[in-house]
This record gives sequence, C-alpha cells and structure tokens, in this order.
Amino acid sequence: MKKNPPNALRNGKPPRLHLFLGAGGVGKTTLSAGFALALAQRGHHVGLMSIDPAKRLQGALGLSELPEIGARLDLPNCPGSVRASVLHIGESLKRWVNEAGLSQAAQERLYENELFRALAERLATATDTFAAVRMAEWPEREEGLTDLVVDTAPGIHAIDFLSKPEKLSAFLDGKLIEWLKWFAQENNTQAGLLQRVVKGGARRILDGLAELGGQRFMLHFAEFLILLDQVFARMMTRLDFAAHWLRSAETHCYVVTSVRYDAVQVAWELSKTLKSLKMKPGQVVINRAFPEALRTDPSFEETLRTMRQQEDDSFFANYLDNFIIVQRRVQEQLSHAAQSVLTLPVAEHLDAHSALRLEDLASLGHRILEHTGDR
Amino acid sequence: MTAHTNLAETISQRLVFFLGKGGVGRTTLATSFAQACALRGEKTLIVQWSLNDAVSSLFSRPSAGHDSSPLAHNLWVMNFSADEAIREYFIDHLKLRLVYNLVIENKHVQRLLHAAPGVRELFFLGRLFWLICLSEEIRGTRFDRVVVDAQATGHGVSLFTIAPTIAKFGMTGPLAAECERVASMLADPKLVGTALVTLPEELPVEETLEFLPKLTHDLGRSPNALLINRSIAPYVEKNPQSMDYEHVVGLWEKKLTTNAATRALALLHRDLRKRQHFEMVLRDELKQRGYKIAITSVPDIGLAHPESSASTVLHGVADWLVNANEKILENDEVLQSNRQQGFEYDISEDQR
Repeated sequence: MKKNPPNALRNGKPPRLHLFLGAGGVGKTTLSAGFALALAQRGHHVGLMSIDPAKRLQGALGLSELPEIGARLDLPNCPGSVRASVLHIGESLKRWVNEAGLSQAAQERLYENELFRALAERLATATDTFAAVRMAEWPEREEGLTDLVVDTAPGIHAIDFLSKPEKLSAFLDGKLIEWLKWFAQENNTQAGLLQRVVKGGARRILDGLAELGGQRFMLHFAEFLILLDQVFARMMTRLDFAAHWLRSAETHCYVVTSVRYDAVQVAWELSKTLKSLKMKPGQVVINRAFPEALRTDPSFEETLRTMRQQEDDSFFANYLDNFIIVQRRVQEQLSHAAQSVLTLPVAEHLDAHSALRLEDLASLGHRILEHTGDR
Repeated sequence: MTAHTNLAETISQRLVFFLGKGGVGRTTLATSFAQACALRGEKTLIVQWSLNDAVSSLFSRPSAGHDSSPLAHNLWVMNFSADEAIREYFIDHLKLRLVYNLVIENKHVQRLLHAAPGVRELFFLGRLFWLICLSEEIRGTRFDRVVVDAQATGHGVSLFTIAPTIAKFGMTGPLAAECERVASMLADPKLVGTALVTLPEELPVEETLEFLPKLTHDLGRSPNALLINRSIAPYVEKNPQSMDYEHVVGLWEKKLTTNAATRALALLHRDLRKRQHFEMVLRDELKQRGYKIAITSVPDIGLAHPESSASTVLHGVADWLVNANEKILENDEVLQSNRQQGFEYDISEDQR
C-alpha cells in the first residue's frame, strides 16, 4: 500500500475545523455559510463544505451550482477568502479513482463493476461513510487554508459522520481485504503451498462467506477491492487524519436548533453524543428565535391577551403565544444540556422573500464569532 | 381544499413507509398515523431505525429496543438493531448457528458488516418481511399495521433500491434469496404503502418536487399520500382575514408601544404567510405536473392550542386523522383538556 501522508499531517497543524450539527431545516447551511464569510472578513482562508444548499443560498454565494471540488467565492475587498463546495460523494469517488492513477482499462473495469456503481451512485448511506474522507482532503488540496467549515447531514445520523472514521478505516485496514484479494488471485493462479498454510484459518471464513453470497459475488467483491486498492490506501490515510482532526482541541461544534420540539430533541441528543465521543461540548445556537423587541414591548403581553379573546383575530395571537411557549420550553431543556446558549432571533434581512445578500449572511456569522469570544 | 379524508383509509396497506427528509416531522406524523390506526382497532407496530428511540418518550415510556414493546392500547414500538437482526436471521431463520459463530462473529467480518453500505438496509427490509409475512406463522403474532419511520439518511428512498442493487452484484445463496423476497414484497402495491411528509417551507417544497419523480421511479408507483405537516391552511380557510397583512398588523400597531416591536411583528406575520404561500406553491405545482396523490394538510396543532407539548401535538394529530374533527382546531381550553384525558390509556391491558 502506498502511504502518502497529507501535507497537513506533515506540517503538524491542520486548519481549524468548525462543524455545524442539528436537525433538518434549522438553518445549519445558512449559518455555516455566514460563519465562513465572517471568518474570511477577519482575514481567514476558509473552506466551506456544504450539504445541499437552497437555491437562495447558492444565489447569495454567487454560484448557480456549487461544484464538488469547490469554487472560490468572489468577495470584493475581503482580506480573506472562501472556497465553497457541495458534498457529492459519487463525483468525489470518481475523482479519487482518477487521481489514484489507475490505467484506462482498470478504470473502465471499475466503472463496470456493479459494487462500485452502487457505491458511487445508488447507496445513499455511502454519503455518510465518505464525508469524513472528503473533509480530510481539504488541507491537502488547499495550501494555506486556516479554517474548514462543515455543514453536516441533518439529525443525529450526522454522528455517523463523526463516528465512522474509525469504523470504515477498521474495515479498510482489516485482514478481510487481504484475504479477499488472495481469494480472487487464487482463482486465477495456483496459490503456493506456503500461502495455503498461512491462510488456512482464513479459508474457513471465506468459504463461509462464499456459501452465503455465492462464489461469483466474492469474486466481484474481490475485484472491486483490488481495483480500489490504491484509492482505499489514500482513504485510510485521510480517515486516520479525520479521526484525529475531529477530536482536536481546536475543533468546534455548533449544535443548531430552531424553536421546535423535534429540533430541540435532536440538539439534546447531539450534545449527549458529543460528550460520549469525548469531544468538546458544542456551542448550542437557537436559530430564528422570537424577536426580543416584540416580547419586551411594554404593551405586548396585554395586547396578546386581548387578541386571543377575539375570535376572528385570535389565530395570529395564538401563533405568537405558541412561539413564545415553545421557545421557553426549548430554552429550558437546553439549559440542562449546554453551558451557554446563543439565541439568534428571526431577522428582517435574512428571512425576507428576496435574495440573500452576502453582507447579511456574514453578519450572522459575526454574531456567532462574537458570542464564542473566538479570536 | 382541506376536505378531510381518513388517512388510515387512504393508505390501506399493511406495511406503510413514512418518508421525508430530516426535520419535516416524519416521526411525529408516522406516530400519529400509527396511533390513529390503533384507535380504529388495528393492532399496530411502529418500526423505527434510529440511534435513539424517539417515540416511546412521547408516551412517557422507557426506550424500546429491537423487540416490540407496548406503548398504548393496540400500539407497539420497536427500534431496529442491525446486529440483532443479523443474529436472528442466521440463527433463528437459516438455522446456521455454526456459520454465525464462525463467520459472522469473526472480528473482520463484523468490520465489513459495519462499514459496507447497504448491508444493514437489507437486513432492515428482511425484518419487515418477517413481520409482515412470517411472524404470524412462526410466532402466532400478527400486526394489522406496520408503520415504518424510515431513517433520515438517504431520505428512506435508498431502501427501495437496495434489494435490486444488491441483486445485481451477482449473489447466489441465501442472501440472494433474501434480496429477492424483500424486492417482491416492496413491489406489491396492495401490501406496501408510502406517505411522503413535507413542510410548507421553501426548501422542503423544493426538495419534495425534486424527490417525487425519483421516488415514483424507484418505487414503480406514486406515493399513496403527501402530508403537508404544520399546515395553516385549515385555519386560514376558517379565518381568511388572518392572512390580511394590513388588517392584522394594523390592529396590533395601534396597541404596541415601540416601532421596533411593530417591525418584528410584521416580520412574524410575513413568516406565517410564507407557510400558506409555499403550501399553495406545492399544491399548484403538483396539479400542473399531473400528480394524482392524495394531499393532506395536517394542521399545526400548536396554533389552536398554544400550550401543547410535543406529546399532545402527537395525540391531537392522531385524533384529527381519525375523527376529521374540525373542533380540534378550535381554541377551546376545555375541549383540549378533555381530549388529553381521553388519551390516557390503560396500558396494564397490554402488559398482560
């Protein structure tokens, strides 16, 4: 196996990693984009790895379609920079095959291999499995990157992304791969006597697997592994790096929730899981909260009460009342899970119907940076 | 427009998948639907596949494991564990204890099973097959309904392509047979129903419109129902003036003290109107594209009953699904508290 440690590992100091976690629809993608922009305005050179941004956000970033490999945003008068990308594992995998220097014939055989096709195109779970590999690739590709901002998949399944590095590398590094390769080669050439003796124990396992899935499948699988040998070797190095990077003292997690019972439940579970993974507690952010200016208006309480009594106009008052009640409960629950909670209220410029502006996005990021007292 | 049909009749299949991206309230609606089925007298099981059981706490019950545990009258829940399912499959089903001990429990094979994409999905479907087609014969237990809260990753749709995909790998033997039978189960429109859950918001509506053709293709048919969660349409229908910006903000403006408060209020009203707007966008688009799917606007229960907790919202939706009861949407504290009491079931009955 070719070992080629990434630059970031050789230099010893990787960029700072910022992970945005939370339920779907709480605004992770928007917040992570705003955060990346705010860092750039402070002179940082930032990578942004996004999952499926809304069209409105892509528009704001000035890119109709964010490429897998990333594109540098056009930020006039900005001391730093942002390179933004969208996670697309199928495309990444093809690129990795290309970069591994496989012969044309080998590439073609690989693209014909059903396992590879399934991996690249169809099995959606692969996204979680390989997101960590893609993440670890950033410091190699981008010289001088100071920060990487990662928008993760929604829900507590994002934890897969955090816990999988070890799982996947455990497999890639495992004996089974060696055995399978040996199995495939044995079917082509006659294995030596010594090999037979050494692999005696493996034989039983392989026979067992062949009995369950069939010989043809085993060969298919072995071919897949052989063709991807070098790609896997690179992945191993990257996963190793990702696992260390995630647990670095410099890594920050932001657990985002909105004023919703299910979203706060997810935030709570995420906070617990970070703890169990022995990672630093995340900064909890309540996004799109009830505006203070309204809640603290001297006449608000009284007006709310009156309006709730008026049958024809009670609907909007009920909506406001429900918003406040749910928010109070959300804050209460989170106060048990987090040391500090940052509340970002619904904001005029961000929640308008019109196109988002970079400045407004960045101001959101600055709010988070100021709260965490970060740099 | 919000004419109400009983969802448990619209979706009559025994095995019902709830699909939808994370954050749209899929678990809540799947549970409400299951509860509605249970209220109709059907023995119902909710199958989750999640790191943490999110359903039991809504019924003030301890977390469920891989085996089904009772939640309420006629209602059970389980949280799928791939490791357990693999063990059951080899030992109980194939009677291959030796293979299990020697091969599957091997450290390296375990690593493969954990890392390889698709393996756990196949065993998940295998477990559903067992519940639907085999458990009556083998264990003498039968669920009239199995409601699946499909995992967020892959939007659940990968479940429908996993068997044909794995079948292409050239497998033979018991695993191939397993693929085949789960694939034929999924292909049966009389047995398997699907409900797609979405929200009346910009991104979920966009995603639903992109996702529908893909789902229809992978499934070989349209989903049976589209549920618009947290809808305000049923309220707006009764109170059209609540969407009138000038009217509502005008009323409040006169009473509020600061301009900042009025601006914030206007912002929140716009937020609410956006929900109605995106529901209309979704309905119009589906109509234009010729989809013939039953669309249900599931009311945001909290807007009628601001004090609702996560649990009362769930029961409120279930009750609404069963009774088509417009009164549930009226702001009536007495009615609400009566309803809550009505939801207290005697669980000792299930534990016998």
